[in-house]
Amino acid sequence: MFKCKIADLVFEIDNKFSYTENASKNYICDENEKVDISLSVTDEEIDYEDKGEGRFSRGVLEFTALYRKLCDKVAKHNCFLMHAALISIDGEGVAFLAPSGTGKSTHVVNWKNAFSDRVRIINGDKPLIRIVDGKIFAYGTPWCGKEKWNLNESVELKTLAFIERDKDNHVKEISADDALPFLMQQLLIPEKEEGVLRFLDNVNALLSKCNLYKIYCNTDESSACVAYNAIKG
Amino acid sequence: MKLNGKFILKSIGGTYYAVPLGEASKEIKGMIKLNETAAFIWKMLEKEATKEEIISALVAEFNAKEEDAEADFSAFTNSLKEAKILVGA
Repeated sequence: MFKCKIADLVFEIDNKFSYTENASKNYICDENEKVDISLSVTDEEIDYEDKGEGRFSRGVLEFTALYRKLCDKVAKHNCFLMHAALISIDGEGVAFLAPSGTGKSTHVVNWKNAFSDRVRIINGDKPLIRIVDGKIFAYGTPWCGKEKWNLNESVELKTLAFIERDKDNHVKEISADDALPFLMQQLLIPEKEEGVLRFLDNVNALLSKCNLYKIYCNTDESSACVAYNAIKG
Repeated sequence: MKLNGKFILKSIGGTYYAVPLGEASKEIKGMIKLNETAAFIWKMLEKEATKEEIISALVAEFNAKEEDAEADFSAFTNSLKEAKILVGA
């Protein structure tokens, strides 16, 4: 059992395996912090993550199952999971979204190489988003994809950039209407009815507050500069 | 005629969508995008309305010809009936 703070919420996690606690060590908080959400998963919930593949240890499966449960419980705090690579550039948040295998990580590496210390890679795969007083914030979490990029930091999210592979690098500003189908594919939609309505309000806030772009890019380092110039230029 | 109550109308990014709730969300993975006319008809169907009431409301709201309003109404409600979203005569 340990306490950690993620997305400004305090979790008390009752874990069976040490993997989760090790992966969360940068998020451990003071013992005296008031708990917002208690989390634990059953053996059945751990089995569910295995999907009959037997590829991962039970510790890893528990870690995944805990995140599924966490995402369900944070919904009432206007908080939800976005499948994206999250960076901050000069202190402003940019989320890169695309189906797995498109090249989010490659593109993020290009940004890091092009802009070095101006860029911080906050989360490589599964940041949490939270709407606080009408502002959109994105948070690092211990759940972060295979590169293990995760920083215990938060940033105001200003831009959603949907990535598509192309031969040449170019960028198009898109409408909320165009962005919605791409965005929905990368969000974890709550199952409970009351959760869905709140979630859709949050999606609406996300689409109305963030700048929305489609980035068509190849794997060259110059792709980061083309994208930056379109977004920030 | 009346909607089956398994969907809710929601404006997201300035566009109306019919969003499946509860069990319906397991059958329909997605949301139904509605144009302005469809959203208008949907809102009337939420409260239960007759064909005549809806067509005259469309004529008034969009300054439309009656035959155009009727064609739009029939096209939309037929799709809703096919999808069993609209019930009753």
